Amino acid sequence: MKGLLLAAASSLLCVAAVTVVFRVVDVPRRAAAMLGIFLATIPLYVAAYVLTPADLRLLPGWLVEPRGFLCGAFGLFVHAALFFGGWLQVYNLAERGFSLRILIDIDESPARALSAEEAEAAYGGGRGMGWMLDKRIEGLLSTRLIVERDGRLMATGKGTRAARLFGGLRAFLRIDTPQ
Amino acid sequence: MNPDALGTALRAGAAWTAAAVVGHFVVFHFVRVEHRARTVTLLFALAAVATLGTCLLLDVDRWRAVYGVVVVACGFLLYMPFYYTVAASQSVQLVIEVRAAAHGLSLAQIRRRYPVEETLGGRLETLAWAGYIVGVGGRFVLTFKGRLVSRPFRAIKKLWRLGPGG
Repeated sequence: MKGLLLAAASSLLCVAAVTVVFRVVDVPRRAAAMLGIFLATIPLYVAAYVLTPADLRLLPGWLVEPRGFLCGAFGLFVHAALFFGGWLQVYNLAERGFSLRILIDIDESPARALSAEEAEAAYGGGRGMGWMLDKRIEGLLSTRLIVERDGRLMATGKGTRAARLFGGLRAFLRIDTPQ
Repeated sequence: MNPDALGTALRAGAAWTAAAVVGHFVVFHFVRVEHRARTVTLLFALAAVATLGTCLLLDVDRWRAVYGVVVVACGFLLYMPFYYTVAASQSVQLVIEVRAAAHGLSLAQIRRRYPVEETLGGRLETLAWAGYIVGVGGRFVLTFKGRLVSRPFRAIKKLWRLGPGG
């Protein structure tokens, strides 16, 4: 139980630190900043686990784990899962979610209702739908998955490997249309 | 009582999580699945129940059996974003198409492949089908389910000072 409680505390500390950093500093690469903050909480978790008593001075005996190392490793796994599967995904959705952006645009419109044409123009806080595609292409260029040569976009070695992996998975899972 | 209750529970959780992932691949490969996200969720829910059952069969106390379920829940948290990247990411789709074209693609060709109206129309259709929006007098409004998603994310975007995004 100690591992789980410390994992929950570390996760909350991590998201509190992310919130403070995002509010105080203009961070250009936010996902990388989040990862850095998460990594910084790992030694804190380990130190807290090692330095605190097994019962945290509040747990009943039946909740104290005799295998301390395993309990500590389990807590660390939970902390990592909460970050990579939780907070980082919340950020990714808020920053890049296509469907979510449409829902927010409708919600933020004066009449709280948009036609398809209005949604197209209002997309991304008024940037329009064309911007969405540009943003994806810029992202692929900046991560070196594709490069521009003579006005054409080509897959790099990294992009080719990614395309093979994801294309293979999509074919195997018989996914042909994004859902 | 099992002397290695925690270890047994964690191993059971890990094994059933792996079974859920294998099950996902097998089911999706052999069956044309309509409700994909729901099916993956169901597979992990079954894994959680199986973990509980396995723990109780192996004499693990109830409290530590829950740890096994936590392993399945964490596996689900980590697996779903991966699955969505494979299934729905437009960046992934783009890089697959760029790689498939023998001489790459120009920006104009990409724009032709992703016509704005069709892309938006398709997504609006999906959102309506999933019950997040509903058409009223030629316009789309959020349903209760849609507001339930939109409002917390609006608050997060404000709290974290994120741009419009999308």
